[in-house]
Amino acid sequence: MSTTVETVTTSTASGSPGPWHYFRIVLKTLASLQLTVVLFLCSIGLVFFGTVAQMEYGIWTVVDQYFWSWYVLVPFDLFQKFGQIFFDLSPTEPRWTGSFPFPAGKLLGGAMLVNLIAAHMARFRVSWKRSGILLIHSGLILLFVGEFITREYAVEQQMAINEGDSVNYTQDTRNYELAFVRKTADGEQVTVIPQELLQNKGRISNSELPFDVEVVKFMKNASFFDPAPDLPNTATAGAGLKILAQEMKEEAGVETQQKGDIPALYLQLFKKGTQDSLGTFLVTPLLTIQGVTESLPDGDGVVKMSMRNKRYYKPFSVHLIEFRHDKYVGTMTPKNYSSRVVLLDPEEGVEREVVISMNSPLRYRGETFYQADFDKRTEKTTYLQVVRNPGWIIPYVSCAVVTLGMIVHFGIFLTQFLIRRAAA
Amino acid sequence: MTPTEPTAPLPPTTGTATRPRPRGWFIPWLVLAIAAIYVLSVIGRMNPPSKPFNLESLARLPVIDGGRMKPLETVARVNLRMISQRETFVDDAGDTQPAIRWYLDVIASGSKEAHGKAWKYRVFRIENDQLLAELGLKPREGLRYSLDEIAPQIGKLDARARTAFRKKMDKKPMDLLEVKLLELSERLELFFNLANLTSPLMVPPQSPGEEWNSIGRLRADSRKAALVAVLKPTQEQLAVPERFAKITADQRNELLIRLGGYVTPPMDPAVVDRILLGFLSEKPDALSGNDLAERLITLGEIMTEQENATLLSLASAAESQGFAQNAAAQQWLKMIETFQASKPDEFNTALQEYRDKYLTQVSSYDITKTSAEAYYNRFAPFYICTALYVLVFTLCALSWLGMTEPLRKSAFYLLYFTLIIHTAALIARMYFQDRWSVFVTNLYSSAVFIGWGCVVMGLILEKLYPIGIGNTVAAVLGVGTAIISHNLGAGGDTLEMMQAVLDTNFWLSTHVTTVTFGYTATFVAGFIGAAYIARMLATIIRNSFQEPGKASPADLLVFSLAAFGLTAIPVMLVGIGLNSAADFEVIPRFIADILTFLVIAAGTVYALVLLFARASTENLDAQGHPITGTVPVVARAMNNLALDADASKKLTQMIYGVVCFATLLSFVGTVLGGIWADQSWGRFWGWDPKENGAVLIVLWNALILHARWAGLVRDRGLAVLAVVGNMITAWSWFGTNQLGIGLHNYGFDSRLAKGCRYFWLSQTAIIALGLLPRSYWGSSLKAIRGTAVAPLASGTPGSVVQSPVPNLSAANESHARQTKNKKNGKKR
Repeated sequence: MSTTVETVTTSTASGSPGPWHYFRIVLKTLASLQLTVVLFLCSIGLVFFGTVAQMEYGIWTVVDQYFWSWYVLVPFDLFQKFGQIFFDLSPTEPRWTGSFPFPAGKLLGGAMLVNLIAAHMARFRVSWKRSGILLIHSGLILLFVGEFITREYAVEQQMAINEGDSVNYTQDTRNYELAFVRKTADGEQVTVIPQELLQNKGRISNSELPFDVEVVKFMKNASFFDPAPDLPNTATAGAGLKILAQEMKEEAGVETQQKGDIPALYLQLFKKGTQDSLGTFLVTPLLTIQGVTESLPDGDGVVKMSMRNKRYYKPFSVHLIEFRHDKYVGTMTPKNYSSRVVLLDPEEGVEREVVISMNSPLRYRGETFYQADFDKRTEKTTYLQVVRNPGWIIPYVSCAVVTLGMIVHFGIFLTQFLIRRAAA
Repeated sequence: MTPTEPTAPLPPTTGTATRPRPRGWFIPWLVLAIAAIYVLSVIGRMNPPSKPFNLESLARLPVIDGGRMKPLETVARVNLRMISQRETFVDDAGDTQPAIRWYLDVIASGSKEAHGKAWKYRVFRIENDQLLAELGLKPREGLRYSLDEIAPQIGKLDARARTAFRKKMDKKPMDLLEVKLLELSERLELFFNLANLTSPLMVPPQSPGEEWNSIGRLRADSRKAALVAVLKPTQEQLAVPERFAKITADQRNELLIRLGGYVTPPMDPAVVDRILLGFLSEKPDALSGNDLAERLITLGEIMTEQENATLLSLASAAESQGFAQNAAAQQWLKMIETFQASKPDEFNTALQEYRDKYLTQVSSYDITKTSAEAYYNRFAPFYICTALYVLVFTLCALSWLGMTEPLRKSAFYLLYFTLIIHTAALIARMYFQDRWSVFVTNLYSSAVFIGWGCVVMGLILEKLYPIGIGNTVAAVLGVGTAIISHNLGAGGDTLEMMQAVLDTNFWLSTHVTTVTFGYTATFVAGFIGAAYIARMLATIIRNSFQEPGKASPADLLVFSLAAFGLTAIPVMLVGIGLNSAADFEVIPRFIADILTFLVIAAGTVYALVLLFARASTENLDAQGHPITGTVPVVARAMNNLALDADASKKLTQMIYGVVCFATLLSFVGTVLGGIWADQSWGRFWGWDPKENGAVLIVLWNALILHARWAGLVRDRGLAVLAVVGNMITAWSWFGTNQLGIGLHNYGFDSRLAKGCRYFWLSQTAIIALGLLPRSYWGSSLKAIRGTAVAPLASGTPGSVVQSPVPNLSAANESHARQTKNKKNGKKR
């Protein structure tokens, strides 16, 4: 980089503007505090819009639209909604139409990062007085990085365990698979077709599968009816004879609670490598939850077919001893939810008892198990939220750094102020 | 401004005897003495009577309600407050009586048919005109009605209450009448739950491992056990083939209809037999109390008299088992009976016996704690604090008019005094909840705590800058938060138990406390900003009077904005105070209305007088040359209020320092919240409305600091931005909570939304006034404007040096820079 240094000397010496001069102008502009203030203002606007927008859309839709894209079209009816609550606008008035573009999270976050880094390049001086600022800003950069890692690499799954059972897999609550299970002498043999393959029409044949599968119709979200004589039924065999599925608009994100979509699939089964149809079946997780699976004869045994949440198998298993839902005496107010489990990991030789409760998760093998939910009817099934987030520690570190920075920075000036005041 | 003593506000202890006492030295002590007498007088008359019935002792008995052990007094007060919106009532003789007396009358009122004494008390508050009309009631002072007045009419509205309830369950929008109707039916339910003793749990355990129970529950269980004890043998007896065969065809049909709800009974006798035998083999325990009774009656009708007599003897045997055996419950009934029979001595003996015998399983720690809570309720510390903060505010307001220093000092001491009570009350609440170091558990306690924090900060600021601003801000925020908390506390017990995920003292004491302190600091900065703007307006008025020459129309416009704006601030504060006092029935509504009208009229007249005085003044000498004018007597207060370089500098420093503090606290608080979220559900940041609200405060405070460092704002700009901070904090504190409600229910009682709206509008008005051109007031700051730049800002990212500052000439700017550099040099 010696050339650059030369340019600097020449440009300052002669006064003629060289590339370095323009670079400095650009850098100064990027580093300006005025820009910082404008970016803060935009962020405040964005966070506000992103909050009010949650009245209409589910949190994930809002996060995608407002906080994790480059720009967002903010609808005017956001203000109408706000006005209805706080300024007595009539709720029956027709909706305001139209929208205006606004910089979204990625753009603002990126710009802030550039502004911050440029500021340090343009005005970089190390002194004890500036140590606080340096700490604050580096902590903030770390926070941005952490949020990025979480967003890109964190995986959220769920583990449902009945009291007395052991479970060695987690479920993806948003993705499904078609599973064929055959009981064998030493356990179960499971073959699955992931959702991605089921979404395309056509025949799926694989040596592992006991049948050839032809997708007749895949519905991302379905509603269900009782069959009636005037309604045509696609299914010709199995549970589908008693229940009809009809395609529905996707619900994703509209509801805050993950009510979620219920997919359904009509499929025709064929004897392997032939055109001998075994019938058209309906499979859906709705039936699976109710314990309805299709039992199909295969060779000398039976294969059970069902559509279920996509599973991730783990090298360890979790055994639920007891789920507790404590309430305050004489009320329905929950006091605590906790699951007493045994963690079994034959590979690592681990076998220990752990209590997972609100505010005290279990961290194991890079995954964290949180007490998320339970079966409200029986209170015997626990749902653990399982999160794998390689960046979980980053926010902790960055926050400590920023906090320290602020204490140092404001502390220095407070001390100076008090000393000056005492001297006056 | 009258110059203040440069020394610390407290006079040095040595040498006071030789120095002449300053004018009005005794005023602070007088004020303190009055406050002390007031507090002592409250203590003197706070306990409920112990004669003839020992209500005082009864009120301190421990019971369990809402999952928490508390004195009976709290139950009585909370229920009466929810029904009546006050904690006392007026009995049929016209005397004001404590809540515990009402409670005792309620539980002694007997069955719904008996219409006991409590049915005659006018306690049910119904504010809605439409609902009153539907009930055939006339609006009256206080809007309180007795159960005797309501009960005959309420049946008519039953169907509508049901529809409303269904709408509420389905989260569908309701109209106002439906909301109010539901509210009334909930209040009636509260009353009957107390009357039939299903709430609270008042029967203590008598052996280890036993649980608290309610008399109503015990009674129902016992009754059910008795019914089961009869029904079981009845069914068995009837199912015996010989007896079963004797049931006639008519009886069979009757049974099918009444037990099975068959509209047309099946004709095939075999099927009928099978169904009936099915009924008779059902287990009675699985049926609810009402179904049990229903079935017993139905079956009883087909039994012979002799059969019934034998079976009924089983019932009385069973009934004498459960409830009748519970000595503690019986002791309660004894107390109620002796009270009904107006036998005070026997009542008091029974009460003492209950205390001695039946509370053995309750630890003495709990007994002491519940007693303490009863005393706390009676003392009503926040009510006292509110009264004292109002007094502080009055002292502050007066101090701007004259006797500045003694009154400022009085306000300062009185704030200290009040803070002691406020702090003690906060500590007492922690003790009752067994949550040490947890200040905030719900919105109510957040308001109480923010008020406390504001007063602490105000006192620190007043100590650092003894110019009366810290006092004023502390008093205004003290009263303001007290009004808010009083409104929030109307809905039930303010010491409620925490939902599972919130039940963690560590996060409650770290995250919640810090984030609430962040709110506090932002509010304090914002209110100092408002004070800056108010004083700016006073400067405009004063300068305008002194301005040589005749006022131009533009001058007069700015002058009138300033005059009306400045008078509007105290008028608004007093108006809010009066309106709240009427809401809480401290003063009658019509008096509040008259006073409000008078205050508004006085404010308007004063502003008009100022305007007239200015318009009629021509600052010209005899020759018609412009000369410097004098401030007329009516505007004398403006001399005290107007800003000068020193005051402006101090205020700016205060705002800047508090904003720094607010940034730190709100950031740390927000982040701790993120960590809590990560601990409890694995997401550091969820973009939840409340989280977003907190981050808005952080961003706004950071914006203020960066705008200051960039030189985009200085004194006035800083003040205006700080006022915007008020709006954002109000959004975060209350606004975000409204969204969730608003999502499902537009007809919801929208007091908080309304509060937000008026607060935002008032702050917007202040901001608008704060933007009046500098040329009308800036000259007063000119003398040493260079140093008016907050020296705290030096050393931050080379800002002032880097960017040109609007509103300032280059010369001034370079002067500022030189001064600053000199200062920095000196320090290094």
